[in-house]
Amino acid sequence: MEIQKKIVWLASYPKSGNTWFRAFLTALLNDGYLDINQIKTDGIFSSRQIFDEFTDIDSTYLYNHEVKKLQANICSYRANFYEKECLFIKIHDAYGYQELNLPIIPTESTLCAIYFIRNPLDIACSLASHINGTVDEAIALMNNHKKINTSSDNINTQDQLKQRLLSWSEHVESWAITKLPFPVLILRYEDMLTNSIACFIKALNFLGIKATHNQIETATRATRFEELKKKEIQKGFKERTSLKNLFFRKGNAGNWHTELTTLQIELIKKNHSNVMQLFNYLD
Amino acid sequence: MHQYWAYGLLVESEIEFPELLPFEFEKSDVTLCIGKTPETLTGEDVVHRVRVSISPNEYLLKFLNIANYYVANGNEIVIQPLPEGDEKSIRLFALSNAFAAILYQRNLIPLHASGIFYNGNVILFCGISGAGKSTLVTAFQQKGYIVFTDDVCVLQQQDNGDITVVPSYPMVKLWEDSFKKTGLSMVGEEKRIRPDLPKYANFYHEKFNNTRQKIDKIFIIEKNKSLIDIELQELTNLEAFKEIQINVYRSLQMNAMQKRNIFFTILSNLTKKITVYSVKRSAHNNTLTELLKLIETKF
Repeated sequence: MEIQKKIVWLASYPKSGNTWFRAFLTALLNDGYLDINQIKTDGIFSSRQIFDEFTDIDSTYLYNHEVKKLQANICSYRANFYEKECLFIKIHDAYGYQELNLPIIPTESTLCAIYFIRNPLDIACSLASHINGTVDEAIALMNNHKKINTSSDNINTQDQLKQRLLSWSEHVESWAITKLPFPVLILRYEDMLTNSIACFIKALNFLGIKATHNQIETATRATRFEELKKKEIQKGFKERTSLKNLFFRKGNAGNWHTELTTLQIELIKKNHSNVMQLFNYLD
Repeated sequence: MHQYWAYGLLVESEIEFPELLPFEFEKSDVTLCIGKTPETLTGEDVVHRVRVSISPNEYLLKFLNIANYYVANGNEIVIQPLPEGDEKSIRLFALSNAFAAILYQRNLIPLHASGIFYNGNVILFCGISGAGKSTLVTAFQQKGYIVFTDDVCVLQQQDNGDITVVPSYPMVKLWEDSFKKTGLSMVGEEKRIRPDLPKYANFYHEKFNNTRQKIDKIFIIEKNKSLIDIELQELTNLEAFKEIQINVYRSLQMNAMQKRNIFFTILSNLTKKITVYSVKRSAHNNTLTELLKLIETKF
């Protein structure tokens, strides 16, 4: 069976603009209309529901290494299963290899990837809210070199499979610095903020999606941060993980100036300066 | 050969299953043996997914390097152990996947539900894996209720239209943290359901009642990320139909074996006759004590 190359990975460390871009794509492909609870991309790599549906296995019974062995097969299977031209799959796992030394995401069914990168100083503020924790806990998570983002004890009661997140630097290195066997477009969150339309056009050209300037403008307007936040306040957002805080929190760049202590800033810079430098986050 | 009762069926097995209820009989409904499974299933009606193939009368699961499972005609299970397969893992996926296939092949519908006895009938708690079904029935057990089933039960429509239900087998599967939450004494490491999985078997063979029961009420249990406590709501017939539908066990098998119509007929009758509640609990806080109290007010 010939496997079709149709998966587009929308990859990022959490809180780096991935959902925003998925909202934009949805609005673009839907005449500018967006229901944030019906984002029309094709799920997340770590979806337990999708895993179970395509394997007939209750994944809560599996060890992490078993899950990682099967995930690539599931993606390739889905690529062939669906008739549509592209599958846009969100992924927070770092690029890497499972224990049989095969990539955790399948090369044979991958068309390309877009990697969203954001200043880790701003991620720390946003991530703290996302994980219902403190900024220090968020920073610890971003410095965590563990292969799995939660304790690797195989307790599988969450609705997502465990993600191989690695540290922020390792995550960026895995997707945006290492040469991968498929094309990768890197988009900086900060550029998406200051020049949304130019960034989205760049992404659409990369993906080979044709759209008029008017369509792009309409979709961009519909997915401005304030619009997304307003929709979340009005109708809620099913992807939100925090009890107290909105998913679409502040969305701007540079919050860290007022939200982080000097010590926290130093700690992030100490751990991630090399990668930060590469992407102009140390100026 | 070992003889057991499981999911309402008489099972003759080459493998010993401590999980199941030993039972003597002359003629079995199902035989389970060790052997070589087919390489593939072929035919126009075969649905292929990742390492699993399903037709109305055949089921083949090639589960990593643990074991292959072949199930046919509602009466035959063949297991081919593979090099990395340990006994517990081989049994666990036989009990979940292979037995589900047997049930569907016999036009029986397994529902993802745990349950307790109440007032001569049973109360069921439906929910996906991780919803908290097993913890809930264990907490009720700690209060003196008798567990009816854990994780799965089997629905069947009787000739008079009544819907009845039988349990799966006398074992509750609990994650490590559920023992603390429910106050149940921790069991030994030998009770792990897989060697490296912190989920444990709590057997209740002595109190297991395998007779067919009527359903008193159903509660649909769901974890919710935006809740701080608990929400309980009685569902309309249509809402109940939709919610229970989601909780059919191994839905891929049901669809591939073309058993939706049977399930929908059962559901349609069931939701006309019994009360169904939706219970949403906080995904963030331990609300078990309040959950029990609130659910009990509807008994």
